[in-house]
Amino acid sequence: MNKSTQKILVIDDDPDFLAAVTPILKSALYEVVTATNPREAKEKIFSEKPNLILLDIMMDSLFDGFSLCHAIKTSKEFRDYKDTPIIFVSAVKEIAGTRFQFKGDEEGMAGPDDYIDKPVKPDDLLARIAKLIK
Amino acid sequence: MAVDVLKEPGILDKKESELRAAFLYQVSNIPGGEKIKKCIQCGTCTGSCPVSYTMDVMPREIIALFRAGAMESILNSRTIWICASCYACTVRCPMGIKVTDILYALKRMAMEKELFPKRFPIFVLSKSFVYLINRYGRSYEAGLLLLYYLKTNPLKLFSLLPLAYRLFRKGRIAPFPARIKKRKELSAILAEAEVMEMIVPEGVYPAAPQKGHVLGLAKVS
Amino acid sequence: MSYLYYPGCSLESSAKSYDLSTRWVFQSLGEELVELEDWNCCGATMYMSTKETISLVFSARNLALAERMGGDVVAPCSSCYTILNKTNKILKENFILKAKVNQSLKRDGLSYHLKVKARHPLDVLVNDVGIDAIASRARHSLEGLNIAQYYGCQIVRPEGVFDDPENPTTMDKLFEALGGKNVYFPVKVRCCGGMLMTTFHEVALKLNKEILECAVENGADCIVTTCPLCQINLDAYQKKISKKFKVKVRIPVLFFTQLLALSMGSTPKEAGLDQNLVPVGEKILGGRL
Repeated sequence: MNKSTQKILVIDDDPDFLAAVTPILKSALYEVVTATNPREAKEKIFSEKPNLILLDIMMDSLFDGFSLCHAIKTSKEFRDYKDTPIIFVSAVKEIAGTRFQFKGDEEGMAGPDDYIDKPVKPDDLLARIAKLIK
Repeated sequence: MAVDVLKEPGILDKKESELRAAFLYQVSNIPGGEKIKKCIQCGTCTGSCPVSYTMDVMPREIIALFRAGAMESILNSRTIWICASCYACTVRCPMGIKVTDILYALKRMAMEKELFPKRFPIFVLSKSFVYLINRYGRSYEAGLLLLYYLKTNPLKLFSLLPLAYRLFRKGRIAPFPARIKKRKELSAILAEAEVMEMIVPEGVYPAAPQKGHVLGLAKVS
Repeated sequence: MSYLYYPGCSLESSAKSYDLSTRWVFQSLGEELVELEDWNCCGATMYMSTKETISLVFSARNLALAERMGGDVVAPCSSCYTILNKTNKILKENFILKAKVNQSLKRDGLSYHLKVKARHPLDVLVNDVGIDAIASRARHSLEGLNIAQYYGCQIVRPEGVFDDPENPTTMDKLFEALGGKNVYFPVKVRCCGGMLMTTFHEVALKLNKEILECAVENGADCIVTTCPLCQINLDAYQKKISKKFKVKVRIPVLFFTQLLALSMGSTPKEAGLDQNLVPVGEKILGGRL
């Protein structure tokens, strides 16, 4: 498959991160769309139909990303996009001393497909994206 | 007291270590929860407890059993359900251990793991209460008791009738549940809270599976 | 300064008299009591024992509403009072739970930044208004009335915000200043069993028997309490306790605001005394009809 057709949505409230990660993804011939908050992200998912989502956990508040991830994976609103792979990219470990996850014993719960701590290493990021994208 | 402890010293089986991890996570959320480490087994909590005489595991023994690696026998005990939350133990503990809050944590765990006697009264009461306030935003005493007795012992409702009548005549039973105005918004808040409840530190609980494409991925690679 | 009044669910039904008398007392003292707009159940001890985050969201919604209106919350129900205080404490010390709570509240455009204090009317009346100010407004002395001051658990424990957790004296001082006599009452912070009355009936009956018996033996004419659950437990089961334990207990149980209102000149109806199950006798009313 032609790689250039693959579209990645990067959601992060930090413009510096968006500015840094966009050229890295473009260098690997992905198309890049960005959003800076959950609301914008929602619109972009519907309008751009990304093949993969890089999602920052902390935006306005600590767990915005979890909330969005849960909505994408389980809610009716996003049912056409529930199979879109999601990679968490976050510095939450630096702040809270631990990473977080969704509890698995609850019915209907679904977690992110991968999880990368900030700061992100370009090679690592690209390798993980390649693994999840067809 | 049924205690199944002491397998191999120093080695915990899988279930025990899972329960332990979940318990320690719950305790870490309590302000001052880490003081549980300092318990000197003096028994002040048991002595202060107004209902310890009906407990099968004394409050002091709860901490002893936790140390001994017998979480399951704690969770199966009557003790955690009998606690009336009077906080006498918490106030008197010489080491500042938040005994009542620890019992809350244990109750939450027992409910989560469904480790309690079937149709156990307090569990039913809590469930009925949760149902009502999720629905109306406020508690409704008459409805709560009705639900509770219907689920546990409907016959007992008859013996309560005289008291209910007396209270009703005095205007102390509301005929209809009070509701808040923003019930819809409250539901949205609670739905989000439900999601937040599921977020836990890594390693404490098994992680949620990744839905959908994972199988497809396996096919590709 | 006005206070945001958070009655709590009990004060809407089984403890209506507490609601009536609290409003009456504040009004006649010239303290403004504004009801918190669209408050919800605090979650009580029961929600705490099922889901942690959700229970915190329940009580934090009230605090967030109060923060938006600006002011401290006055919660007469001991359980509400403890839960609101506890929520404040947990959210203050645990930024992760605070983030979870705020994330949830955001769904309705709310947020909470720990700026609200939860207070009990007893605390407000004694420490803000002052015993002297109250005594100067009293119209009838409580002289000759023997009072058992029953605080219950959750108003002073676990934190003991405004009084000692083992031997509180706020209410004793208040009614002494109004002319009442405090009887020796060592069980003033003993537990009444709370919701055990529903789940483990026998256990709760025994706890209540000890409290009632102690009051009667020490010659009290009435028990005065601060908590809706204590009041109904002590008030409603006296016949049953007398029969079961072969003791003779029959003693009126009043909310402290009811007795306060009476001494400040309210009619028995204004103080909600017609709602007490054990009738309040002449000794308390003292011909003040």
